[in-house]
Amino acid sequence: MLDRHEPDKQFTDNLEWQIAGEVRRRNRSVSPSRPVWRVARAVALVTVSIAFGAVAMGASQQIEESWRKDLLLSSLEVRHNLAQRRVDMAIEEFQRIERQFAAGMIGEETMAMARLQLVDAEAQAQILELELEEIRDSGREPLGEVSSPLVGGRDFVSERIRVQMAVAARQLEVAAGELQRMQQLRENGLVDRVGLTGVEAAVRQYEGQLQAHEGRLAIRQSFLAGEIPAVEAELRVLEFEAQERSNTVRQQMELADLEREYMQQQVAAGNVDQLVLRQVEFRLAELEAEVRLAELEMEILRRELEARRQQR
Amino acid sequence: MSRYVPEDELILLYRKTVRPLYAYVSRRVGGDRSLAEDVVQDTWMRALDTWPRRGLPREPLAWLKQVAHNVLVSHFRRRRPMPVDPALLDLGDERFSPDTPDAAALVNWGLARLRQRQVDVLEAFHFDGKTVAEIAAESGVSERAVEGRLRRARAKLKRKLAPILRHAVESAGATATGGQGNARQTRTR
Repeated sequence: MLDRHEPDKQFTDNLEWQIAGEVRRRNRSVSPSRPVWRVARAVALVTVSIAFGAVAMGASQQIEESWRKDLLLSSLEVRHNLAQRRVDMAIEEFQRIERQFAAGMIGEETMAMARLQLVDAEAQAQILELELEEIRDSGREPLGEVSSPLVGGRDFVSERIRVQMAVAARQLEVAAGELQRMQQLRENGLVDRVGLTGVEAAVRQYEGQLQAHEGRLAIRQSFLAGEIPAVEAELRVLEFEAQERSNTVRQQMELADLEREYMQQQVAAGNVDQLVLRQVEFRLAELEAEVRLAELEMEILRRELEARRQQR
Repeated sequence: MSRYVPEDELILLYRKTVRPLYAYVSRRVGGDRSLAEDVVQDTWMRALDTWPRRGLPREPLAWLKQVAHNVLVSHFRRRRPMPVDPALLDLGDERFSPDTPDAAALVNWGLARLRQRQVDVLEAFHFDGKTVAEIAAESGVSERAVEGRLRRARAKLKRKLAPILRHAVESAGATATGGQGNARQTRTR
């Protein structure tokens, strides 16, 4: 029998799974922070790759059969095998949760989360599979920029974006279902305004992610059609990302604002220490600063894009 | 802004810390599994928000416990506890133990209204099961001083909880005279 202060194995396994999924999701969207630096880096990278494009492509042809390609393939195969195992585990977990759901032991929310984790694991495996194919065809590391060249006529960048879009669409669907459920609970007075706003923010966040993927895909198509040059394509992607960041942080601010209102009432009633209110206010100030940074970045990007359009 | 945090590193850290973190929380919520799981999960989600921005803390378990503590304080501040039969929670007894969820909720509600120094000594003694000698060694004071602090902190806690405990007695009396049996824990919010 379990010690009453010992966690249940099912709980620790589920939480580990959730953490791993969350870390992977966050690591995928990690990007350098300072606006000017990000823009300068994008411009420099693309400029250098254009200048040396011919040489680089020649070199990649030469290393096609070399040790470097073998090493790249081996390392990615290891990751791919792990991803496949993760998918197998996700399927098993999903089936277990499905049985519990059928027996009425868990609610719709847990079921939806399990479905999401499965979709995410499958998408990761698909992306790694595409990367393996790209290495086999190109002899170099996979390229993720929207201005990357086609590989043997194949557009790996768009294929990967489409996989990410499928995940984002699924996340949005689940969050929208959850919002509907919460709205009903709210109508029945079972959840407060803060709980509902949290789910509304999640829905808007997933909508933003989906739009960002659609935007990247559209920019990629414009670049491939020769409508915009490489540097401009990359700058537009940065602009999209800054916009998405700004939207996400604004939603977090709405929540923090509600929290502040609540804390102000609690402080006035003498239930909460002033310090807790100050912590909430500080978090709000941090979020305001993040929005300002994202806006600054957008401003820099717009000017840079405008200057480039005039030069064309 | 976010930095890359290796997944393997975090998972190892999770496996190393989840049991002591759970035990820490569970002892403070009187073994309420559902609440303990929510708090542990919330704490880890906060870690995932903070660590990529500020880097891994030097003592991850201490960091997690501190955040879990804050989550609990915030939780108990917001909820008025259910009255508990004073006979089940004799705050005058130095060995009292809030080992049911309702008793723990009540004690935590009271702790959230005490000074930090008083909270620390009560938590160390009653939740973490440390001896007076251990607390004295950790805080660099004499055992006699710790005993004094414990006594004063318990008395203060008792005063804070008195209205709720009194309410429990009155409600239980009313229920008994109303012919509905004696409720050991009267749930009135």
